Amino acid sequence: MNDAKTNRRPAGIGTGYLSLMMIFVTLCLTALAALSFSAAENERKFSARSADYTAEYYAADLEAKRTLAEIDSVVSGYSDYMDFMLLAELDGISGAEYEALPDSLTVSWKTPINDRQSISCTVKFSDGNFEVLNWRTVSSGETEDAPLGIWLGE
Amino acid sequence: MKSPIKAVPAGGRLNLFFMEMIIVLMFFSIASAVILNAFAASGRLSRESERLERMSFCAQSAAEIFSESGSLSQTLEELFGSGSYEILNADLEGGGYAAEAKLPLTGDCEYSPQSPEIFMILIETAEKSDSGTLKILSVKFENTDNEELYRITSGAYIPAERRSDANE
Repeated sequence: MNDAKTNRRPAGIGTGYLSLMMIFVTLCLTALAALSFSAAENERKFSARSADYTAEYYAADLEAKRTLAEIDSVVSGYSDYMDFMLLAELDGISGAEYEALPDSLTVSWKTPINDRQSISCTVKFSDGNFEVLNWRTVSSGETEDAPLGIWLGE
Repeated sequence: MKSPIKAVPAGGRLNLFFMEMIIVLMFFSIASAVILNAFAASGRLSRESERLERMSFCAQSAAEIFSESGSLSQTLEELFGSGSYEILNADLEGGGYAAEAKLPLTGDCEYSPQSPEIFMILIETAEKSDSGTLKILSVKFENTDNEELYRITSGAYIPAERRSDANE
């Protein structure tokens, strides 16, 4: 009879189980909260970078248009595209490169967007009008083709 | 007499069980408060980034339309339809013509004069020369406390009537 009494286990939740469950649940919630916060922070950084880039791009686009206005203002004052004074004035516009022909004048320039990219513009003047030949985003730095390190079978 | 509730241990173990439960509940409530704060901060960050993204897209659309048209009224009409927004015009001395519009928007950048959450402020200025006009559009977003949230500036160059006798 005594043995039966001592071997009998108390039914229900024993001491310590609650603590273990609480630790497990708290760890799970902490991990989820950390993952959620990290994802939200990454999303915010990405949105901020994207918004900053948009602002930088349109600021650079405005600068490029300002340069176009300056070049147009210079070119419109001359009737001869080979005029020495015109070419001297174009030399004074920073970053502008030109190709002068008797019937047309092609001017190119680059406006930086940020450290890595810039807007490349090419405009052709002829018959007193201009035509935009090229207005696109290009990489500012020198691009080198990095080898992929693939075994070529040799 | 035996306890009718079998799950509850009898005697000294009962006190121990309740003491543990109290400690666990206290710790759990403190931990929950911290974790809930982290969840709330995540939600706030997520909403902020979504709003910034929408503002950026809205400003980008305005900048693109303005680059092509060079007109504030046309930009607004293409963005929000022919609404009842007011464009304030002013002649700047020596600085060209200026126009300004302040639009009440929802967080989703929809035109909403009744319940504005943010304001989109568009300011058009012009730099005139003999050869043409450089029009500049500044798009700014503010919250209801007049705090600036986002801004971009774009432009459109409109050449003057071309010289037909040039280069002759």
